[in-house]
Amino acid sequence: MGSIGRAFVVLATAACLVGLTACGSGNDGTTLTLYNAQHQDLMRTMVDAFTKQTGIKVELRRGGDPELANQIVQEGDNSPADVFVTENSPAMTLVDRAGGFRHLDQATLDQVPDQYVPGTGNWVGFAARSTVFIHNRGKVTKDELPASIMDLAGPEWKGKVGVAAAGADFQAIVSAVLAVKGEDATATWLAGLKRNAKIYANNIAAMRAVNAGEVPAAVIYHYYWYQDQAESGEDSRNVDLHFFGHRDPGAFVSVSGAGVLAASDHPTEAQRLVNFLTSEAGQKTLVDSGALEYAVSAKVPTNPALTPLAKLDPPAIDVSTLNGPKVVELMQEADLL
Amino acid sequence: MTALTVTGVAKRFGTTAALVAVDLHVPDGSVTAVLGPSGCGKTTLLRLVAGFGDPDGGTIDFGPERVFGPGRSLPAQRRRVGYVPQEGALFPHVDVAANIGFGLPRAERRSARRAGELLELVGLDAGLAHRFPHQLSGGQQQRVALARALAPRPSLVLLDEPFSSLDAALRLGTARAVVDALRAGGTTALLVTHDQNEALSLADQVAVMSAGRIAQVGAPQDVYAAPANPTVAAFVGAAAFVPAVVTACTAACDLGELTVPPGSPQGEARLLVRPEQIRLLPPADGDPDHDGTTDHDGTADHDRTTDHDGVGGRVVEVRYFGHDATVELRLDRSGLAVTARVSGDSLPRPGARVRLSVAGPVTAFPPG
Amino acid sequence: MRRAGSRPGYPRPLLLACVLVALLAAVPLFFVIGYTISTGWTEARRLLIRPRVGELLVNTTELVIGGMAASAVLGTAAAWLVERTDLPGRRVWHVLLAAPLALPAFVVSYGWVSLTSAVEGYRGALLIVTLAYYPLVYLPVGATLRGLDPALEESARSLGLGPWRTFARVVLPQLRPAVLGGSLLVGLHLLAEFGALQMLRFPTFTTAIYDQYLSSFNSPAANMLAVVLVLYCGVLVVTELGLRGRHRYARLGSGASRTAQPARLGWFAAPALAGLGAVVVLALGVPLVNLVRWLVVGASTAFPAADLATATATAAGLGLAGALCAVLLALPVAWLAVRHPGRIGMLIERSTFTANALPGIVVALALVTVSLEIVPAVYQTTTLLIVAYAIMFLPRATVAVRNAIAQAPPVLDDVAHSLGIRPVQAWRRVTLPLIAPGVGAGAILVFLAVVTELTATLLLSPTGTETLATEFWSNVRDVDYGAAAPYAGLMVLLSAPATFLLTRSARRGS
Repeated sequence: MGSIGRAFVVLATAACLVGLTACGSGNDGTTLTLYNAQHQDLMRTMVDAFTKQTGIKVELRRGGDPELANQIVQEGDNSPADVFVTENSPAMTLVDRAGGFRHLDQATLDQVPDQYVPGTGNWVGFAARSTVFIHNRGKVTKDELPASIMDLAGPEWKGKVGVAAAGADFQAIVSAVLAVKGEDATATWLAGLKRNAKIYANNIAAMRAVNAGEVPAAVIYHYYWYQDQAESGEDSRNVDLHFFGHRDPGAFVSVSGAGVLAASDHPTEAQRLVNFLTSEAGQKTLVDSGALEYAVSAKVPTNPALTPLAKLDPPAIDVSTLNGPKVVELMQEADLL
Repeated sequence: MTALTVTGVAKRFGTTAALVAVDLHVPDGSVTAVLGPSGCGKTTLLRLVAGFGDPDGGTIDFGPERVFGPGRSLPAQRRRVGYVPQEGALFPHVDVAANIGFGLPRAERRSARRAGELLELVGLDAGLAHRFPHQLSGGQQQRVALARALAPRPSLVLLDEPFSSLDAALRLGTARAVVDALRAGGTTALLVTHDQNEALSLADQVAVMSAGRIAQVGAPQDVYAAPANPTVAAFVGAAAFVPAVVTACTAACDLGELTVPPGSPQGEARLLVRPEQIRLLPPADGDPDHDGTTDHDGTADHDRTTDHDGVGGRVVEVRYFGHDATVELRLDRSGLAVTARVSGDSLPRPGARVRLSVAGPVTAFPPG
Repeated sequence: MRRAGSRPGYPRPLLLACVLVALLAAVPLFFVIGYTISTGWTEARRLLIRPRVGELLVNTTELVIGGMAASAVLGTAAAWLVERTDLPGRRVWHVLLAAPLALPAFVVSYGWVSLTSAVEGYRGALLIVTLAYYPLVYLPVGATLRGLDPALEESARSLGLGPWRTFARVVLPQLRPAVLGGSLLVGLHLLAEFGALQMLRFPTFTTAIYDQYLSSFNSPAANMLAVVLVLYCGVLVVTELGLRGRHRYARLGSGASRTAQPARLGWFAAPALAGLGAVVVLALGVPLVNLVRWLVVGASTAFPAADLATATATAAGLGLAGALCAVLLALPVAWLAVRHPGRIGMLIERSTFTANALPGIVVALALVTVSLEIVPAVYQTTTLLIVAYAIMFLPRATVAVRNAIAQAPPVLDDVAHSLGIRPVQAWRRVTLPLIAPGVGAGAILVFLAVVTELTATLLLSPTGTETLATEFWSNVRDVDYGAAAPYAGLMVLLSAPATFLLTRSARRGS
């Protein structure tokens, strides 16, 4: 019987060893690990172009902005990531404040207009997207359109507006409200939203619900609508866009960031990747990808289908001040999370 | 084949002493039954002999070879004992032939000859060779289990209550066939059982165990007729214990004056009386037979007639078994209850008055 | 007295192995407890005593109670119709009614949500989880019905009871352990369910924990919700353990040799057929037809054969590794429990069951932190993912292996040794062939669970590792139903044969 017990121990140990050796961590010199909070298709296209140009392979780990940002902070020096790419800037700020980034090469910073670069110079914006109010053509008339995103907390919108509260996109929009209106006004606004809003898993689901008339309106980013229009229009046929403009927090233009991690084992290659994302070639890949996000490079023209950024009249917000954790806390207090 | 000698073997499980210095010799080629109630340690003894565990002390010898002793413990697989557990424990995933051949070397396993021989030896049809255990009756399974144990030609066969799970009709035939097979091969065998009929009828030698000790070893007749103590006496057969006063070779008690063997304890004693020793006498003249008159017994009168006409008693209950019957009686003199085993014809009725006497010598024990 | 089964004392290496397994299985629980203590009362209070938690508690309770009750009624009624009545086509019905077991709940949910958003919210969620999980009641109740002694029903009939009253007064009480046991299993699955409910927009603790995780990775907020979830599961597990203890006494023999005279349905046959037909259409027909529809749609746009092949291979590989690992860990525990019954064996066996009260998301959260802070070498590795699977599915492996080992009583080892066979050979020639089928069944169970596992895989899988479930999920999240279809289809194809084997062996075993 003792020998059978021993056999168990040997087998279990062997299984563990096999498991350990089978688990190559992926960093074998030429492969970068990219923590990707951006859309997988877009980043796949961009890094494929990068690999084609440089021969450096890139593996993507997907997740949400705050998820991956917090993950990088908790991983600290042990983080397997080399580059972090987000949809919105609060996540970049979170990592930057925790000292998670390496200063970017000057050449990279020079490629990007100043409004997309934080004061620290530790990350850059490489794409931008605008907040938009979408509504079902048959359910909301032109007269009923809200003038400000703040109006959505009013009783007339009860049960009529959809948001993807758990998503980073909406949380970035909340961070803009926080930056423009302050904490008290934001808390009041969130409490109103808690009463009014129907919660969706993400922007696509919200748009689909608006299209089907399940909810009259929603707050999302612009490109979901443009992408669907470009493809089949199946989920946006009945949906109209309404940009708030007038420097309303609802006209917020969110910046997608890219940065090189302090914990990176391949900083040179990682710097090259971020440089590529903001380069003319990279930005052109972005525009041609069908993602329909805004490019940030001045040298690359915006996709003609989109309303030019200049016409959106967004509020002036320093990209490095948006406070993600505070937003999560406020949303928890409002029971939206 | 070889003799088995167990000397001073002891075994504890935690705080419970399962065996206390057991000595037992099983002569070469004999069948010895270890008889005892549940929990007396007999299965433990058998498992230690088989090598499934080590005693805390003592020695175990197979003939001249010491298999267990200080600094030595031969593992079970090298002791060459055949083991027949309760309910056979055939390997359920292989057929009868493969079960029988299980302990044989690979080459011998392939040939069907040995399996055939052994099936024949245990009295089974060779056609069963390719059946699976669940397709056999309980008795057949037990015989296959023996065949499997005998196949590697063991020096000793150990049987652990092998027949207890069989129903009465099968038990006798199977037991007989198994012991015949053992005797035919001249195999030394140790049979553990709690059934005294099985032990007495099958074995050459019976070892009665009680509370972790061997209480008595001997031929079946000796153990039955001259048990070492009341516990053994009660365990090997039905018994009544009657208070008596012994003087030389005569014991005076409620059943009259009985003969005890020379050397019996003197003075106050308990007499062992077996049911078959009690005889019912034909009704004496003048005694009212069936009317159930109330007691008017003159004690002196009965005393006087004891030697010739037995003592008086009343039938309480009669149990009829066909080949014989038992009669429960209450003695007139003291109200003591005794049981008589009588032949099945001409039985008294409950309530009848009878006279009874005791045949042959009885055993006397010191008073409890 | 007779120590035929158990050897005195415990073999050291075996005991050591068991203690290690028990400690590993308890890592998530230790983590949850430790985290709670370190978070402190003030912070815990801020995160727990708030309306959102109340809302989740109400939602979760409504769903668990509703789902358990609906599954119990549906599963029992279906089992009775199939096993005990003269319903036409009973064999076919049995296969059809057990088949939803091969459809993961999130695939059923997907089949419905992609058809109509009317199933969102409580009623839809209740409908869909019931359709997905009622086989967990149907199968044990069916097995019990097959094993019941028909003489009991015959006695009741002879005492003048009609078929309905016989069922209510004689059969139903005997089914109680199976019905309650199955329902509690449904309850535990519902507490851990993530994908299906997220799609149906019905937030429960598990989906809320995931949302918190998305918002702040491994935060106190997520972990405090996990504590509540663990407590909730704990209540169900303790109830289930208590019931299982009594269940053993409630079982009668190994089954009847005769089959009962089936109850005559008469005029009721038509509505019964219609009812079962409706269940099969709703649970199997709608999701499968819709899946096929999306497959056609998806195939017309893009059919990423390479990604599909990779995800399938990854899922199958992880499934095999997880099954192997879980079974290897279960072996010493089950061996100790069967061969050395006693307080230590029972304690260790019980401790491995704590995973039953730990939904995948809790195990994953715990392992993320533990690996980051204690063993960074395994962080984001396949090893850690497999360890998570092993911990999560250890209970089902242990139950299967335990039953398997009970098929090989130690007396057979003794006989083999007495026949001159050495222990290793005896293990190979006797024990292994006897326990192999049961161990294999345990491995299949774990494999099935791993192939469709979502939450732990999302949190723990190494960068670049995508399984069928995660690929499916990422497409569903983007509401790309066509692209999700092939992954769902492959998951069903992978689970179907194994499920079929299991239900068939369950039927034959009775």
